[in-house]
Amino acid sequence: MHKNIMYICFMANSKLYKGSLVTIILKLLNESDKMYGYEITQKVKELTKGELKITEGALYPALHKLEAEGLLEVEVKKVDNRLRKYYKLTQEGNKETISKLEELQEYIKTMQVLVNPKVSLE
Amino acid sequence: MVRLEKEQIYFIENYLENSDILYADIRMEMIDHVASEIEQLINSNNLGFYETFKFYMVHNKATVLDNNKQFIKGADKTILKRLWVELIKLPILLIFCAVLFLSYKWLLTIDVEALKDIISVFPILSIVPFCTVYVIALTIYKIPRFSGVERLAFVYLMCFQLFNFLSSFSSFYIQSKSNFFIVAIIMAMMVTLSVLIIKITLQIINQYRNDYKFMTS
Repeated sequence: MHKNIMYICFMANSKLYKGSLVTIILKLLNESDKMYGYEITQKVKELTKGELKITEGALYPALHKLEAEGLLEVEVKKVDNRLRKYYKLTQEGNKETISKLEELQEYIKTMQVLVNPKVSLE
Repeated sequence: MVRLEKEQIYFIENYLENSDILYADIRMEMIDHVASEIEQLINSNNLGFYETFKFYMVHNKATVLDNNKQFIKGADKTILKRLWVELIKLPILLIFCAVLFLSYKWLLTIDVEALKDIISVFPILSIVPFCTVYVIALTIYKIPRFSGVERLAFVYLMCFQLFNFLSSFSSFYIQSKSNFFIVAIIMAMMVTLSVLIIKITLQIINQYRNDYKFMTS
């Protein structure tokens, strides 16, 4: 029990991931119709096999910022005896996802060239 | 998969409310997150609700309370950003110009001493319309304490201080009718800002009514 709780509290994410949080959220929402906060944290954990854990302290402010910018819209539903806030991409959000993913891919390419000079930018 | 009972959800809600997580929208999202985590833990550890809840809170309460602060900061930033975005829109600029023109024309018809008295009551007058909108909207729509709505009071307070400063400044500045153009600019700023805040208040209240249909006070 104690070990499991500590596992939840232990968020040893690399600082390298921090700048990509918005892109990760947009990408996940782009792949599904709508998602709620906890679902996003679990999906990231599952996809990265536990390598990346998003804390709620980072996730929710990012979601609210995207909502305020008009990139996400929300829907509140009654699920399992409680209310759940779902997030989904707006049209503008879909465009932003494409642009953010391209930006990230460019960044990865550039970093690969720097880390491994044998790889060219072409 | 274990699902929490209604009473257990109420228990989490009361606990969070008693921990000063006062805004309904913030609490709602936290309840769902905490409940989902607890369900997951109950499933993997086969323990009871209260025991799991206690262990969860012992290790995560500080994070939960810190998140509450982040949520509130976010709500403030969103309101101020919205205010700025609306401020530079054409309709608001047109309102500013129209009020400026009308104020200047009106100021030319009154004497300096009368104007000093009128300006001193401006801050109080400016706060009346948006307080009225705020109270009527909350009474009619009966919405709970939402962060976006309640944090508007912070914006009201800032604007009231600004109006107070502008009013004192212009009272001091008025010596003759030649300065009335500056007074007209100050009046136009106050009226435009009041209109803008009323508009944002109504927009935010309607947005909450639309997004949080299930919640009533």
